Order: sequence, then C-alpha cells, then structure tokens
Amino acid sequence: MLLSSTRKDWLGNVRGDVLAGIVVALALIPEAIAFSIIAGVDPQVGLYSAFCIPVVMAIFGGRPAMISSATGAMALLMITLVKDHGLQYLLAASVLTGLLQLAAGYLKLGSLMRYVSRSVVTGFVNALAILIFMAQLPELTNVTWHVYALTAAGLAIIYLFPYLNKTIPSPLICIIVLTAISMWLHLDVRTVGDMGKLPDSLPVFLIPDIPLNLDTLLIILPYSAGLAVVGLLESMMTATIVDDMTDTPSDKNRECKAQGIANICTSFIGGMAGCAMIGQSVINVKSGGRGRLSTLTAGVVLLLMVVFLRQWVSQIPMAALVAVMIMVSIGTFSWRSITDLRRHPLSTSVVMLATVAVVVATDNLAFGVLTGVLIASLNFATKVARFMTVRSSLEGDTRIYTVTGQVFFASADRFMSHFDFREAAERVVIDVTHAHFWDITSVSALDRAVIKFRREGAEVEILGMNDATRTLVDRFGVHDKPEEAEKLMGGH
Amino acid sequence: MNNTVVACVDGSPSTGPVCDYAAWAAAGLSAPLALLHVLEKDGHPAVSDLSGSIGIDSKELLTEELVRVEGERSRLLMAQGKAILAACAERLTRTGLPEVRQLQMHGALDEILAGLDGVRLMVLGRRGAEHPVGSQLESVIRLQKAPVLVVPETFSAPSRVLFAWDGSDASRRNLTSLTVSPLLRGLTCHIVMVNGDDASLLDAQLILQAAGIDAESRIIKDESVSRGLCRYAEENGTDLIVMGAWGHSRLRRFFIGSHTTSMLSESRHPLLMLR
Repeated sequence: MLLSSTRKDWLGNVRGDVLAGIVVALALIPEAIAFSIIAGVDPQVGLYSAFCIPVVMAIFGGRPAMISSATGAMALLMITLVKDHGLQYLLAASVLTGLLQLAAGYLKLGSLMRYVSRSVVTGFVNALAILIFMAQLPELTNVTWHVYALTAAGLAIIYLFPYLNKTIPSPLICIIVLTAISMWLHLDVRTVGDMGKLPDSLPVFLIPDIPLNLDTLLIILPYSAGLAVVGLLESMMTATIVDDMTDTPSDKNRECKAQGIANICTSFIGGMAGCAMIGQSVINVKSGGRGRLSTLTAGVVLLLMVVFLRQWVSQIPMAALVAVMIMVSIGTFSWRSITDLRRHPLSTSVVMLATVAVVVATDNLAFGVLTGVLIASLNFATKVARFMTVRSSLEGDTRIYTVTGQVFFASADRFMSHFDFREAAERVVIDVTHAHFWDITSVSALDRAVIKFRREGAEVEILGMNDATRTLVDRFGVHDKPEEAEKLMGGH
Repeated sequence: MNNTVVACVDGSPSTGPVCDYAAWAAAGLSAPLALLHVLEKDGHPAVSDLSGSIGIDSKELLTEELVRVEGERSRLLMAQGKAILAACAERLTRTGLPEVRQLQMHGALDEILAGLDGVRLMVLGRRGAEHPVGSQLESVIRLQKAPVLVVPETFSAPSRVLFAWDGSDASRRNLTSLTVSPLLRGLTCHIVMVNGDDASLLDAQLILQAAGIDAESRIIKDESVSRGLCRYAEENGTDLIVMGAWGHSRLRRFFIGSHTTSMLSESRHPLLMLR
C-alpha cells in the first residue's frame, strides 16, 4: 500500500513534472531558508528537510503533486524548543513527530478531517498566510531604506515579469536581479550568508545527540504532539485543495503515514520536521506538475543547487527572500473569503474569523482549528435543536403532548419548557413516536417530565418510546441499510 | 448487464477487428453484446504556466481555468467517443446482431473494466489509440475476473485453436471449462506444451477425451515459451491462442518476467486469456 504507485504516477507527465519540479525547487529555497530562520536554526537545517521531505513524499505520499517541506506553521512551534534546548532536541522531537504521525496514519485518523468544515479550512489558510507575512516583519524593521527598496523591486519583478515571459520563473529572476544589484552596489544589507550555515556537502546520516531518557521524552513530547497535529492538519487540508484543483483523488491515511516517514527520515540527516505547503503545491500544479516525479525533482534540484551554488546562495539579500515570502503569503491567503463575509451566514463567518484570531494570537494552528471546529459544532447543534416541536391537545380529561423532531442535549431544556405542569390533568399522554432521543440528556429530561407529572397526581403514558430511543444505540450500523435509516428518520 | 460480451473500442485501427471478434464471440456464446468507450483522464495538464508566482486568488483562478479547459476537452472527447460507438454499433447491426448496448464511462480503463458486473468475455485491441502494447493491457487483465480476448489489427474467424498447456492446476481448470464452453465448439484444437513431459500432456488428452473432443497434442522445445508457441501457431495455422494469464507470483514475474507479458507483445494472433 505504502509503496504502491503506477508507472503513470511517475512517468505519466515527464516534461510537465520536471519543469514544475524545477520551478518549485527555486521557490522552495527561499522558503526553507526563511523558515529555518523563524525556527532559530541554521538555513542548512531547513534546506536539508526541503530536500529530504519531498523525495520521501514522492515515493510514499498519498497525494501525488503535493509539495511538502519545512513550513512556517511547523517552524513557529519549534522556536522555544530550539531556544531552550538546542538543535539536537529539535531533531529528536522531529523523529517523535514522525512516529506519532505514522501511528495516526495506521489508526486512520485522517478520516477525522470530515469534522473540519470549509470555513475552518478557509480560516486556517488565512491564518497561515498572516503568519508567513508576520514572520517577515523582523527583516523589515530597523533596517535602512535599501531593504524596503529591494523588497519593493522584488515584488514588482515577481508580479510584472510574467507579463513579459512566462517560461522563466519570476521568483528566480527576482532573486538573481536583487543579488546582482546588492553585490554590484556593495549594499550593506543582510544576506543569507549572515543568517547561519549553509549546506557544504550532501547530507549524511546522523543520530540526534541527546540522552535517551524520560526527561528528554517529557521535554520533546509536547512539542512533538503539537507538530504532529499541525503537520497533519496542514497536509490534509492541502491534499484536499490539490484534489480539487487537479480533480484526482488522494489517499489521506497513506498521506499521514508518509508524512511520518518523511519527518523521521529528515531528522536523521539533520533536517527539521515539515509538512505540506499550500503555496508551493499551488505553484506546482500551476506549473503543470501532476505526478510523483514533480515532487522528486523539486527535492533533488534544490539540493544540487544549494550544494553547488553555495557561494552564490549566501550572497542573496534577505530582502529578495522577503519578497518571495510575501508573494507566497499573498497567494496563500483566500481573498475571496473577505468578500464572502457579506454573502455567507454570520455563523460561518464567525467560525472563519475565530480560527484566524486564535491562530494569530497563539501562533499555533492546532488551537485555531480546534476553536473553529468547536464553534462550528456548536452552531450545528443549535441549528438542529430547532428541529423539535411539541404540540399539545386536550381530549376530555387527557392532555396529549405530541413530540416531533430531534431531542438531545441542546434541545432538552426547550423540550421540558413545553410541558405545562401547573395544569391539573388526570391523564397525560406523551407521544414520542415521531421524535428522536439522541442522548442520555434527552432521555433523562423525559424521565424528569414524567416524574413531575406523576408527582402532580397525573397518570402518565408514553407512546412510541422504543422507536424514539433507537438512536441511542451507538453502533446502529444504518449506513449499509437504507431502509433502516429511512425508518429512523421517518416522519421528517 | 448479464453475461455480456464487452467490446472496448477507442477509435484506433483495432476498433474494427474488436467489433468483429466481439460479434463472433457473442454469436458463439449467444450472449448479448455491449460496446464500451472509456474516457480516460489525460495525465498531461491542460494549463501550464512556469512563471512560478502566485497572487491574489491564484488557487481559485487556477481551478476555474482548469475546469474550463478540461471541460472543453472532455466535451470534445465525449462527442468523439459517441461517434465511435455509433459507428461500431452500425457496423455490428449490419452483420445482423439484434441489439447492441452502448456504454460510455469516465475513468481509468483497468478500474472500470474490473468494476463491470456480469461480463462473460472482454474483447480488447492489442494496440490502443495512445498506448502501445504493455502496461495498459497488463493491468486490465490482472484486475479482470472474466476471460479477456486480446485481438490483433485484422479479423479472421478462428477455425483452429491452440491451447497452451503447462500441466498446472490452473491450466487443467481452464481446459475443463473450455470443453463445456460453446465458444470453441466445432473448432480444431491443438494442445501444445513447451518443454514439458508426455505424462503431463496425457492428462490434457484425457480431459478432452472425456468431453468427446478430438485434439492434436504436441510437445515442442524452445528456449522461450512465447517464441515456441508463436512459431507453432505460424507453422500450423492456428488462429486463436488460449492461455492462462499470470500463473506465477508477482515476485517471480518481477525477476524472471512472465510468459503472458511476452505473449502479449510477441504474438500476432488473437489471445484468449483465462483468469
């Protein structure tokens, strides 16, 4: 399963895949360097993972043409670990992240993504774009005007050059031109070389240098858990986006396992944990990448360029990288979601905005998604709770309450309020044939109502209780029996 | 669909013979005939822009453009496929077949064929419109439970059948099921074994004798099983070769290769693959 791929996956689109892979590699270099700097490690760490992760994902991944590498979302979670404990602990945490993701893949947790609604995904994407943008701000504060000029020029090249020529990646032109200008004018601006060590050789196998004991585990586990969750969330969402763009299916659980394997492999050659990248995957698909070969090419070309062009890479001014990263953040942000705010129902917009707000406040995408999912579920519960009515009628001395609809924790109180306990009725009939009692809260609400009526001296009879409580059973297995599902939903 | 002969047409030169062989088989089996045209998804991207930059709403704009361009392409292919199906149906009606179902589906050929129910026999051209012999056919046959008839670019109604016998349980089963099939009734049968022994071949003769079928049986020697079979077919003018498909394990196939694969690429005769 994990290795299965058809010839078509690899060689179905050789020209498109190779060209797209090269374009992606060019855009991956600035990102990998920028994200290493966010995490507080040498650019080498990010660049090694930007080589290793795509290569491993090309072989194992469940979503061909999706680009994975060192990412901002993950880098933001690593900052304190690197600051407090150093690089070796980061590598160990990356291994553990990989193991957790591998386990998630085998437990088929990828299917949990169905609880993440569209608005949460939009919020996630927007928050990601904002985080990427904010991560560039340190490069743009307390600097000379040269940096602003270079960044502006870089953005102009990136967005205007495609009008002249669409066969050469404009981010590459931006980097080459800005590097040439700053070298030629001897500008005193920060360059990539100032940010730390660049790879001077092909990666070698190494084992994280940490004591293997419980203390270490307790240090890295919280980080690894966060990294694993965020990595999988971003990967699953990106996979959905690529599915939609290319109109092809993906294997989400295989993708989870592959992310795990990639993170384990990358830590053993000295790279940081990563995940799928929305911006890069869009670039890949836009450039014509569809198969596994595109991802493989991206990783290999990146490594070759970085190792053999190290002299030149270290001269790239940071302003050029900032320009590329601003482009990525603009391209990642869902601008339509802003105009959609007016069109969409308020509850949906609130979910999106809350996700963004929590992420920006905590720098942790997992918290944002959790908030979003929670609000969305509450919204849903509130809506469904409205599908409950109680009609009452009087026949002689008998008061009949007919309950229709969904009774569960969110509608139980409203359910109770429909009963008139002050009325002196001799007989009370509660007809629940057309109601569904989804949980224990609703059943106990009914019990309370019955007890209260009895205490007032009424004789209580409940009709159709068996039908109404069938939904209480956890494993009902109606999914493969349409007639059962229909019976269950009867009357609505 | 019930016990249908399915003919896979794609507008390539083998489309005509596929129809003819399918008609021959449908008549022999007195089974209904269905024509199938599969619209395969093109792996090549419809839109490619190497500028490498993404801006405002790139995702959405790209998706919209892809939907537009690919939709256009699919519409053309669909119309083309309908025309092919209609032409084939007309050709078959002229030969006197009562009713021909026409099916058109989206997806990968091998998966669609594997998903069809009630297939009696599947007829495919050896050479497709885009794909040369090989991967496509292999995966189709591998995923298939029904027998597959792979036909060349010309049609001639089979009169002499070559049965490739290797003494295995699978070939015993295949031969037994053939003796009860109406498809090959009345045809001359040659049982051929490459590099085998007499005892095993005797088995085959017994099976045929029990069914009351007269057959010639022969052991031939050749380094390559497929070349031996092809040579025999040429020399004796047999015009249909029946064999079991992929009897060996995947591992062995990977290292040694398989007779089925080499037969698919070497043989000029129609091949009936039994699963």
